[in-house]
Amino acid sequence: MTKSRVSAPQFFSVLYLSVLSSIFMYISSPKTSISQTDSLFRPVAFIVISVIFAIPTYLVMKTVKEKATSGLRVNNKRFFFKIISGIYALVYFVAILRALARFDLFASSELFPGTDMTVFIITLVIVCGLMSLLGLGALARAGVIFTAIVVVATGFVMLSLFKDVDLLNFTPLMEQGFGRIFYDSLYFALQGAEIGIIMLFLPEIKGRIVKAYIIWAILSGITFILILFFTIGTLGAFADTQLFPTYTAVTLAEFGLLERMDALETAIWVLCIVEKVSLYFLGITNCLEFILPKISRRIIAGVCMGVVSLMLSFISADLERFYFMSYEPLVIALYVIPVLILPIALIIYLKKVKPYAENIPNN
Amino acid sequence: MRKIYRTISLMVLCSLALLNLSSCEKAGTELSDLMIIQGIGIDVAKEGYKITVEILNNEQSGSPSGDSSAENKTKIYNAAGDSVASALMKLTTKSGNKPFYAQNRVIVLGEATAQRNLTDVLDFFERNYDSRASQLICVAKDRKAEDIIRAKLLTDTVKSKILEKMLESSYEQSLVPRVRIVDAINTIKDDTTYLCIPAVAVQNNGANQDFTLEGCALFDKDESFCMYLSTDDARGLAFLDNNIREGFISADLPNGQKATFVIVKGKTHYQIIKENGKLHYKLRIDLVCDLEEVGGAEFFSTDDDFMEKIKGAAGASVAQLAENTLITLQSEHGGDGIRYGRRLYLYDNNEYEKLKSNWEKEFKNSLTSLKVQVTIRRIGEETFHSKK
Repeated sequence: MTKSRVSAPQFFSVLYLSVLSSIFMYISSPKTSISQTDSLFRPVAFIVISVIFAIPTYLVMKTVKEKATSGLRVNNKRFFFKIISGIYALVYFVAILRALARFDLFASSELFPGTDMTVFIITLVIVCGLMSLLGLGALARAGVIFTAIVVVATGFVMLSLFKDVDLLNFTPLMEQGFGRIFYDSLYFALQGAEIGIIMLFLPEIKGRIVKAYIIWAILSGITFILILFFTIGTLGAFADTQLFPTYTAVTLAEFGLLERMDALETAIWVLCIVEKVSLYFLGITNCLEFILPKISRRIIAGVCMGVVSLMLSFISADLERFYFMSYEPLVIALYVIPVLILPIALIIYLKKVKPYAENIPNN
Repeated sequence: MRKIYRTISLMVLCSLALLNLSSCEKAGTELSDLMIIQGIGIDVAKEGYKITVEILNNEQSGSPSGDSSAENKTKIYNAAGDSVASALMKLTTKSGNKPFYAQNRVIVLGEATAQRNLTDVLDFFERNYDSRASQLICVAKDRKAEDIIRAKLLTDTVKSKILEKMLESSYEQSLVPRVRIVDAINTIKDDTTYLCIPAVAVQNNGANQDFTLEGCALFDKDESFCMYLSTDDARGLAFLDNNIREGFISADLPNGQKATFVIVKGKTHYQIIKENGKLHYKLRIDLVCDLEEVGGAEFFSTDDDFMEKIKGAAGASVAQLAENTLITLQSEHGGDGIRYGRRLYLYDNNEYEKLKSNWEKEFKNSLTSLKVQVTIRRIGEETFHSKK
């Protein structure tokens, strides 16, 4: 247990990479323009919404004071907890499919246009599945190193893009009205669905979680502002014609003899997606292990990898199926269920139905 | 057991990576099986468009003997079709290889192509996933794009690379704007801005040919060709549109001397006011220059009076250049190639919304006042212009 416990900054470095991958591969809704200067408000809304919507999780944390021995995976056989764990597993299973389908779309559109990337994606599933078996400790330690690499590389790309920023590419503020900005910002904030997974790892995180979480939200927001600033500044209205505008912006970057910065960016994206999917796999394995205690973790992870691979092969075979993974109600559900509904249900259960004290085993 | 498990995992992953990630673009595709396009020329043909491409001669480049003298470094192919996309697809039937656009450097539009609607020509490059937003665009002045792609240069090299370098360095020298796919699409999407694309030609140099820069081609907001801007007029664009990079200024001094400056950096500041129902753009161009040469002066003269004179002359030279460009743009066939409308859009959106439907007329009636401030940084090697 001690080996798998991680410090709050370590855990949130994994979460930073995870949310970064969502933004790198963010596809705005067809009604929304990414090239508007108003897009820069979206990360601000992301910070505010991430902090406000984390309140239910915080209340669960406060209710379950004995973090080390509690959390969702308390040695509790109650059916309710199994149901909750099952829903978490299902949500993050779909989240894995969505993340990898998006990456598949990116790889088959931008990296190797028109190429079937199924084998590559399945390889990625195996890598992530195996990484998740190493536990949260290994994942978090890798996360710290990956974060350093990602921050340095992204900063370098931004520096290279600086000379290509044209301020005339920006647009007047509030041009599309407050209502539009509000809707876009809300939709953008929903990309950060990983905050729901904190619940699954509360027992393993040591240190000041709330402080680390707020720092994470602010740093993520600042990173998004910078990414959007460079995307709008370099691409302007052209960004709206691109499936992955962030990537297109990077293709314009040059630094001396280095003319293909997109190769560097692709490596960064792979690191982010590996951390994200590994974390989700770990979360699912934990939940299913709790539901099915007699089955070994390796078997659970193996089955998950197999099912994810099969479903991705099915999605990858038809472009129409990618659209389903970006279906707005699905995106909303992937955020609202783990971030709001499940923590609120837990609070109600723990406070009103069955006081938590009754559930703590007598060790 | 754990060690065996790790070793097997490592071997499986390495094998998957080796098998799947060891080729270009497509698993199992040799580089020599790809048509790596370096330059694309687009001309008008009976069928619609005729495409001429310069591709890397992969077989020669990958020759195990390293012998580069036997064959040319590039090959030229052409094909025609009713659209740019269909003509490009037909290239496959000529070379047997699949076109690969990601390495393309330049797109050359033939004279006749430039007369057509630009959106139709560029649409393919905007949509195609392989096509990069950084490809440069130029117009072949008074000739076909094929003439540019097939130019007989002195050295056996990638012609498109030379053309790309020429366009890039001309931009760095503030001679012409840089127009990449991204810039062209942005200008086309803008409601008021005219697109200025560098114009190129080939000229004979003995038995060989060289590329030359021939100013710019101006396209209106409906993407139709309007006119050519001369080389001098094209130079003025950089000062009027705040695109000053480096470059040089030649200035005539009152006593018949001539001074040449290298621009180190420059910035144009704008103020937009409305006077008597007309828009008035007040431009202040700040330039930092190094003095490179003074002809006919006392050797290495540095007194303050002389320095003030040459600064004034440099400023007047730039102002003259910019004014001439403005006169051309505000002439009958000209238009807003310096993004005045876009600046108004950001500066006063309400005013812009009122004027944008009639922007051509508004632009031509607008007033511009220019003020050029020149700072001389260096007057010679290791010598700064400062009062000692």
